[in-house]
Amino acid sequence: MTVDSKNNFWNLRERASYRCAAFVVLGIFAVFAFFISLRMGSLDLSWTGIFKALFIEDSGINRQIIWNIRLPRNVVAVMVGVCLSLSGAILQGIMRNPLASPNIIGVSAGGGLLAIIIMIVLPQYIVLLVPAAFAGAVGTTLVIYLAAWKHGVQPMRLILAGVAVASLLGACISALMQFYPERVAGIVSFMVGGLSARTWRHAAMIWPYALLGTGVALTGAKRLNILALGDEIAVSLGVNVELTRAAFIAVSSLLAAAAVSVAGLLGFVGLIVPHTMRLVVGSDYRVLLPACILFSSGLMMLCDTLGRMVIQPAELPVGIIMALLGAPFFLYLLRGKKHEN
Amino acid sequence: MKIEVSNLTVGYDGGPPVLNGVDLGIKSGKVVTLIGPNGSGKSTMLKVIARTLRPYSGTVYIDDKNVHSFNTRKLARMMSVLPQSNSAPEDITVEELVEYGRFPYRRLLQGFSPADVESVDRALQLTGLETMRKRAVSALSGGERQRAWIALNLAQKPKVMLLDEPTTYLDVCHQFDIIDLIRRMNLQLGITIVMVLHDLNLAARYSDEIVVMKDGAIFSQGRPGDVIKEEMLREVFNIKAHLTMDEKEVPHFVPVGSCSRAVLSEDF
Repeated sequence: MTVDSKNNFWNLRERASYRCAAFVVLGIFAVFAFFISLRMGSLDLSWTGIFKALFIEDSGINRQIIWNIRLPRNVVAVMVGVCLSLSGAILQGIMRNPLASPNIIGVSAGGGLLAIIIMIVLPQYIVLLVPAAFAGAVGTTLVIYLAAWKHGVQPMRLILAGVAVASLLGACISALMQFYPERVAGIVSFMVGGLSARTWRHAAMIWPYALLGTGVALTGAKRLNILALGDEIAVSLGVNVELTRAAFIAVSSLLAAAAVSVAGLLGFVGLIVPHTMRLVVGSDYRVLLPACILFSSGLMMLCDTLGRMVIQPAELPVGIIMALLGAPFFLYLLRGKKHEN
Repeated sequence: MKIEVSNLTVGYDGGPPVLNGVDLGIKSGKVVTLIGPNGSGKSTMLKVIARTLRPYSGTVYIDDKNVHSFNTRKLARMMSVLPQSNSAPEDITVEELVEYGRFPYRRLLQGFSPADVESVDRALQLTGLETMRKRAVSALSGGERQRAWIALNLAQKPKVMLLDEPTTYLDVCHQFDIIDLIRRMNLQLGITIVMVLHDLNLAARYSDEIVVMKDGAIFSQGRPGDVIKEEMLREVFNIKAHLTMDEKEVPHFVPVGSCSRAVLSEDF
């Protein structure tokens, strides 16, 4: 018993209270990130200024900054983060593969290719950017799913089909960039994922998907847990594995496509947030998915704020900050976990 | 619950059939063991009954009803499956694993009912895991882990349990633990057991009926004493064996060599 409780973290009786504590910390982190991102930027506001702008004033520069720039940008950041992290968490579960992320079902490659075609070949149709990226992302998922279909879809075949299709589309993207080198500069922000100038219009486009993702996170968690026990056990427990997996892939694709079409190819969030939360709260989806929602929200707002501050007056896209901070943090967690075992 | 397999042809991924036009009947309340050499189609048969694998043609009937015409949840309350190898997330506890056995009984927007709690407690008690319920499945020994998966099956309150080589990877003592547990579930709870075993002596001792499979067909079927014969061992398993009967007329055999090697040695 003593050996167990020392060696195996999860044998601790206090797992429930530990999880509660983790959620409190994550909640505080998200709220903290929210207020910091309202305050910081090219113009630093005071706390009272923020409060007044939010609830009292109905005109003035502060209100303009808060209501028209920072608040909508935060809302978009949160929803993009929620969509990508839930998409990644769901995919890692149904594929039973830790490297699964929204990229694996072609969302980045498909959304990216159509968006880049619009941006550098057909700039006159720039208004179609978001729907085109969305269609490209969902369409590519469909192609990959059908390519992997052979008396049902096995996760490994799906992953390999995903890698193949993604490299094909990646080659198309590179070719386009070769043909139009003078127009490449404008698409960098899209390629790494950025939130610059995102506003209520973008929030309006993505909220139904963020809501869909949250709904699935609340209702589908138990099914994801059961799929993690293997196909045979899942069938034995009365789960229609093929149908359930297809439904989850469809949801993941919609979530990631919505995020990518609004914020660009920010794939990293979908990989790193679920993994980090798995290391912190464990692999039970009933706990993991809510944790992903909180952590990705906070992380997106915080990284976006940092991106606005480090090279003022210019902006660093949130995707760059995310990778620069997230990767070392993740490595640190990974080593810590190993040490514990 | 009786199971009937009728004119079954099945293979993997549209490849050549592993089972070809096979019929099989399994009576209610018995322990029925499928034996046969590697590749003879035992596990495939079990997978088709468990509906993990869809047959090319032919039908599996459960109480005279096509297995694929059942509501999947309803069937999950009657039939449970223990696959050959299982893996669970590293941090899942015994209790959490067993609770998933109640998934077929869940109702929308309702939590765990008293019946669920009782079934989980009972499953843990029958498998002797009550004191380990809060421990991680990954921290258990091989035998305990197998008992935890059986407890998950038990929580489903099945009438039939399908087990694919439940004693593989276990040492001799734990093999007996598991097989005793399976026999008890059959005798005390009346659960029909259909399993695949590699150890023929274990199969002979604990089964009401043995089904011998060879090259994707049923070679013979019947009581252990009637089925396990020296000719069968030579023809199906390609071994020479000394066969003895114990006081309860359970056959027991000692293999003394492979027939194919015997042929080789004559050539030398």
